[in-house]
Parts: sequence; structure tokens; C-alpha cells
Amino acid sequence: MDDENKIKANNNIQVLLVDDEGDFLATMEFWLKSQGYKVETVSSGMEAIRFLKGKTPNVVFLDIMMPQMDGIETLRQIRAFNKDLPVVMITAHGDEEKRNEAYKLNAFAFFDKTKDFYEADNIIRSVLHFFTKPKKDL
Amino acid sequence: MTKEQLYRDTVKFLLLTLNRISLYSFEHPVVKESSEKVYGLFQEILSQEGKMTVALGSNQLIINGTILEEKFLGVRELNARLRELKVDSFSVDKQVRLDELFNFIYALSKKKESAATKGPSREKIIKNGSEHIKINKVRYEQVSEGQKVVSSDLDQPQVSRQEVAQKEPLPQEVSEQFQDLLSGQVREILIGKESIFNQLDKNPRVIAGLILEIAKKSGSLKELISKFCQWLLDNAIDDLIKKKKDPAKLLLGLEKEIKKHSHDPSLPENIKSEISLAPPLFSEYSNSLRLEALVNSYSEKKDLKKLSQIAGKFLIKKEDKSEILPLLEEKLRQRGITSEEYNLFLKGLEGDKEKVSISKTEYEDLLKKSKEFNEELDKRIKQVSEEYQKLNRRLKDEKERVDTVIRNLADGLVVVDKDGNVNMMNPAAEKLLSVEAKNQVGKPLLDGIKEEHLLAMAKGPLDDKGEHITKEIELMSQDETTKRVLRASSAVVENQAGKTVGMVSVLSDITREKELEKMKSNFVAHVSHELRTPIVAMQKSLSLILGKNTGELNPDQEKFLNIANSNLQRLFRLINNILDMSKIEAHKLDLAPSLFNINEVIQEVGNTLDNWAKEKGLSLELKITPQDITVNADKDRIVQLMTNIIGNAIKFTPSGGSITVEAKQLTKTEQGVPGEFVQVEISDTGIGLQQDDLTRVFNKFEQVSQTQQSGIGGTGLGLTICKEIVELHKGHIWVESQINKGSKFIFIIPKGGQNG
Repeated sequence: MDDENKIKANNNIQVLLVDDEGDFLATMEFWLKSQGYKVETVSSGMEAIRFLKGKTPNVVFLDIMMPQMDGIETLRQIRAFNKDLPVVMITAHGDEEKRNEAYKLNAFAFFDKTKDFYEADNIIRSVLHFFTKPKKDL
Repeated sequence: MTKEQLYRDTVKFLLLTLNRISLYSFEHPVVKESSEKVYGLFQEILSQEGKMTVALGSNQLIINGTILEEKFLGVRELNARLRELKVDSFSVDKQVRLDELFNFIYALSKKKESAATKGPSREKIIKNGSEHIKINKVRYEQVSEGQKVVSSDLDQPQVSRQEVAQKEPLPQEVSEQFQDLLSGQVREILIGKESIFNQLDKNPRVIAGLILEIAKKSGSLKELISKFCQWLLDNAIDDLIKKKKDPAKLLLGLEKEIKKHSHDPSLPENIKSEISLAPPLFSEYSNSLRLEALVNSYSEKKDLKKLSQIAGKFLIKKEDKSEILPLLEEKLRQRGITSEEYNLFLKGLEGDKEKVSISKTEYEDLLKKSKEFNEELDKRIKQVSEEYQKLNRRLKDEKERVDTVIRNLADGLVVVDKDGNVNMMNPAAEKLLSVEAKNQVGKPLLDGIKEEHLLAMAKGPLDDKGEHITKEIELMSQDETTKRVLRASSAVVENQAGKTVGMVSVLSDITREKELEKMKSNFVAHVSHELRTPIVAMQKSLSLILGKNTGELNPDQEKFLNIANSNLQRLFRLINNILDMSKIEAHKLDLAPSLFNINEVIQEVGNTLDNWAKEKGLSLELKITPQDITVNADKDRIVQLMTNIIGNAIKFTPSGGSITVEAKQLTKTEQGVPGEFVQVEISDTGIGLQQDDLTRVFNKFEQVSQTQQSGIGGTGLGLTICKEIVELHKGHIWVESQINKGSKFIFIIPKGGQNG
């Protein structure tokens, strides 16, 4: 089946989810896994940086609005040691002000969490279009 | 060029050369230049006339017989210079050389002799001339009016006729006769009496000269003087009267000229000693002449007026009066003057110093009038000065009032001149800016504010309402704990002529205001996040379940989960609207423009709402044009906008109706404004709107009667937000409608977005 093949293909893709909201994180994780992606989750910017210093996923979904270290700051720190890592900022309706800042820090795209899951899928597809092989250090 | 013009030019350039020689060096080019010019002019004259003679008149120059008046440039100066050097004349002949002429001119100049001069010394040149330049070979004698100019030059017997001024010398004949007269050989001269008188008047030197000449021969100066004065007494009285000349003055002039010769080596000693005897003699004769003139002036026609006139001229000094008056009286009485007349005459002499007599009453009356006048004057002066004092006081009071107001203003007031330097600032301004007025006056406004303290100043007008400019200034306080924000509202001050003379700024402390603004802004952001988070979590969870990712659902589960989902959507939209509204209120709704095809958006929205429309039994038709209509706009907001309007259409159209969405490209708005625009029309066959409500429907919280009647809920915010979105895009939105016939919502935005 088409879906099954697709799921198989996605097996090689590693996604890191960064969001302080556990509930949302749970739904995203569930859905992405149902699509076959390998998913890791952290719930703060600090944890994300720690994680990324050790491992390099294919794509990172990074929530903009987080307490303590927000998405922009986290991204800035990530960029300090990894310029190329595809980072998708998770926004909610109305975070337009932060967009420019994120783009300046080379964010790849924006995923509006109020939108459909399939949006996420599309974005990941685009990422893969741009970048090549799946990494194998999970 | 006429002869005279040529002569004038020559004189001019000659003087110029003389001046330049004294300023520059001998060989300086400008000196050479002008002397060459002079040489040229000389040559021209010489070629025309063969010879050139320049002689001195009393103040004029005579060139080849032509008189150049002293009014012409250079005449007087050249005359003076030549006279100084005792050169009465010089003649130049045709063969004169440039260097010869130049040496001559140099000799005339005032330049100190230097070793550089070549040729014979200047003294020599002045005395003897040079090869082609002769000195003092010609002497012009003075003649009176109408007489010829005679020159006694052996080489040049030419005589030229012309009108000559009175200053000219005595003709030979006359002087000879005069000499004869004085030497006693004749008793009177027949001609030239007047000319002698004129000479005495204008040029006593000549008379003096003649007298002394004869004295040399005759041996007695005293005798001659007496003879001359007697002659005057006998012959010149009429002239004196006619010309109103004071004989004393005339004789004084003559006396002076004679005295000049008191050291003349050509005079014999006895004559010289007699010169000292001259003054008293002259004085005596002066008085006699005066007396005679006075008497004669009366006696001929018993003319008191004339007498008085002459007397007025002669008898000015007290000594003169005391000397002459007694004798005069006697003589006048002899001629028949009455006492009355004589007294009148005397009074006339006294003039205004005369005393008058008035009656006692007249005198007291005058005194009283004078006193009254002074009193009145004092009163008036007092009045006027009181008025001024009052005015002054009033102005002072007003000024103080204004000052007090300014001083006590809670807001800071700063006045700057057109260069930006502070003229004055009130205490509130001092406090706000943490400066002292006395230190600030005369300096630019921001000078005194330390750099660390000035965090930010919005450059340029924030809120330019024509004449007012508003800026925000952020300052850090002295102890660096608090930040202050000031609003400076400035207005330009113009004087009556319309010229800018300065600026007045009102400074308000808006720190609190800004803080509140910030708090509000934060609150909105915070709240929106707080409200959305649970909704998103719920929606996502429902989505997973409804998407069958968690397994199969039975129909009931599916039904109620769908209800939950759709209500969540509704709640979500409501919250978004409220949050958008608060952003709009705070003027914080921003657009994130991008380029996209409007048809795409229509498609997207259509897809989203398709199910809903179908459920209600409505047809949703999307008229998509084949070509792309690209627009620069905030895609999400346009989606929001269209979702709202189409949503409304679905809400308010009863089952069986239809909704149409169509986009067009336009080159001008409905009002005729040219440009590139996109227009979207959403038409429905719904319940429609009242005419009155067509604009009201866009108002905040308004729910027009139709909505209330239909019982369909809503917050009344949707269309308000739509309007704001359209207007932020610099577009326009409106509705056409008829009750129960349907509505058509139309919005138009520029293709170029906010910028065009």
C-alpha cells in the first residue's frame, strides 16, 4: 500500500519536537509516529540545546512561545554551533512579530499549530526536498 | 578729439604719472606705461600744433594759449606742483625724446632722488630744462575781462583771443598809467580805474608789487601808500558803496602783501624799514574811507536804508563803532540828517539787543501767562508719565501671571530658537530632563542631557499633525534604576512676517502611560497564548481521534466528537476575534504581506467551508479566473477575512440558497481612483440587510436587527475585523443589499499592497 510504503520511507527521518506544552506535544508525537517518523521530544530550550549538541536530527520543530528561553533565543543558541540544521518554528495564530527575527536566524519554515497535522507533513517533505540523506545516529 | 579734450587728457595722465612715480619704483611697468601715454599725447599735440607750452594761471593751466579751468582733473594739482618748483611755464618742441620727457616728469615728481636716476640732476632740469624742453621762457600776464592774453615770449609772438576771468593781470597801459600816477607824473588815470579797484580786491599782490617797484625808484614807501590811499578816497568811494566792500578789509589785504616783502633782498633797506610803518597808516586811511563811504551813502539821496546797510557791513566791532560814530554823526548832521533819523539809524545798528519798555500790567500779564504755561506743561507731562507707568504695571502683572502659569505647569515647557538653542525652560522641564535651566539656556536642548541618560529618541515626526511634531524621548534616571519616557510635542513659532523664529515644546511624562501600554500589550499576548493553548490541545486530540489514527469509531462516537470539534472551532474563532479586536484597539494589528494568487485563497477558503455549506443545503460557487491575480497582502488575514464573510453568507442564507465568490482585476476603484486593484465579491441569496444598516453592520459589537431576528449568534466583531483588515491593506469594503433578496459584500485592495 501507498501509505505503508510511505511509512516505511519515513522510518529514516528523525524529528525533534521542542514544546513546553505537554498535551500538544503528545498529539504531535502521536501523529508523526503514525506517519512513520522517528520522534524525540524535549520540553524546553535548554534541553533542546543539550540534545542537539549530541545528536543531529533531520528536522527540529521548535515552539516560539516558551517560558524562560523562548524559541528565538533557543534558535540563536543553536545557530551558534549548527548553522544548517533545519528548524521549523511552531507558531500560534498571531506571532507575526517573531517571524522576522526567526527568518534572520535562518529558520526554515513556520508551522501554525492551529492548522492541520498534514501541514506538518508537508513541511517535513519540503525539508527533505532541500536536504539529503537521512542521518543514522539515533 | 578736440584740442581742449586732448589738453585735458594730457594733464590727467601727466598727474597720473607723477603720482605713480611717487608710489612705485623708477622702472616699474605702470610708471613706464603712463609716461609713454603722456609722451603719446604730447606727440599728438606737437604734431598738430608744432609746439607745446604749458603755463600757470592763478589756479588754472594755460596750454598753448588755451585756458584749462581748475575744475578739470589734474589742473590744480599740476599748477600747485609747478608753482612749488617755481616753474611758471615749460615748452616742449617737436623733437623731444621719450627719455628726455620722462626725466623732466621725474624731475617734477616728489620722489626722493635716488642713485638710479640717470642724466642731469632734477634741480638742473627744473632750472634749465633740457634739449627740447624749455623752462620759464613764457610768462603770461594777467588781464581783465574781455582783454587779450598777452605773452611775453620772444620765441612765441602768438596771441590768442578769448574771454578771460577777472583774475587776469593789469594791462600794460593801465599799469603804466598807475605808475605814473603814483610817481606823481599824472594826477589821475583815465582808464582802468575799475580794474585797479578789482585788483586791490582780488589780487592785492599785484598792487603791492607795483607800489614796491615804484618805491624802489622813488625812495619813499610811506609817501606812495598815502598817495594810493588818497587816490582811493578820491576815486573809489562809489565803487566801495556799489560793491559794498569794506575798505578796511581791502587795505588789510594790501598791507599783508606789502609785509610779505619785508625780507625781500631786492628791496633797499630804507624801503624795508618803512614797511613797518605801513600798518598804522593803513588803519587811518581805512577809517577815513569808511567814514567817507558811509556819509556818501546817505547824502546822495538821503537814503537811510542804504546808510544802515553799509553801516551794518562796516561797523560790526565795538571799536569800529566808537571810533567812527561821533565823526559820522557830525558829518551826517552837516548833510542834513535829523535827530530822529539818526536815532533810528543807531537803533538799527543795535539790533535786537535793544531794550523795550512795556506797561506794568502788560508785564504782569506776560508773567502770569508764562507761569500758567509752565504749570500746564508740568501737568501734561505728569499725566502722560502716569499713563505709561500704569501700562507698564499692567504689562508686568500680565507677564508675571504668564510666568506663574508656565512655572507651575505640570508639563515641561521648553522654548528654543531657530538654531535649536534653549531660550527658556520651566521647572517641570528641568525636572523631566534632569538639567538646570540656567545651564541650558543658550545651548541646544539635548546638550545637557548626558548621553547615557538618553536612551532613545524617535527621530522625526511620530504623529505629524501638520504644525505639531510629536516625539518620544526615553531617558534613564540619574540612579539608573528607572527609565522615563517623555513625549515632546513641539510647535514651530513664526513671527508676524511668517519667518520661523523658534520652537515651543511641551514635555509630558508618559512613563506611566507607556508602562500601561506595555502591560496591555503583554497581557494581550499572554492571554491569547493562554486561551489558545488548551484549545489547540483539544483540537489536536479530537483531530487524531476523528482521523481514525487511534482506531475505529462507532457512528455515535463520531457524531459527538464532531460536535465537540466544531464547537471548539467556533470557540477558537471567537477567541481569535476578541484578540484581534484588542490588537486593533491598541493599533497593534500588523500585516505580514506576501505575494500570492487570490484565487488560491478563494479555493482554500472554499474547500474549508464547503462541507458546512453543503450541510445547510447551500450551493457554494467559486468563480475562479483562469489567469493568476497576484496580490501583495497578508495571506492569512485575507483568508480570515474571506472565511468570515463567506461564513456569514452561509449563516444568513436559508436552505436552498446559493453563495457566489468572484475575484476581478480592476484598473480603478469604484470611485474612479486609478491604479491596479483586486476586487472580490461575495454574493448570497440570504435575508439581506436594511438600507440603514449597510454601514452600521461594520461597527463594533453591532448586531443589526436581521441578525437578532434570525436568532443566529455571533459576537458582532467579525465584520469590524474584516473592515480593519481591508483598510490596513489600504482598501475599501462595503455591502449592497436588499431585504430578503440577498447581500453582496465587496472589498477591493491594491494589488501592490499597503505600499501601493
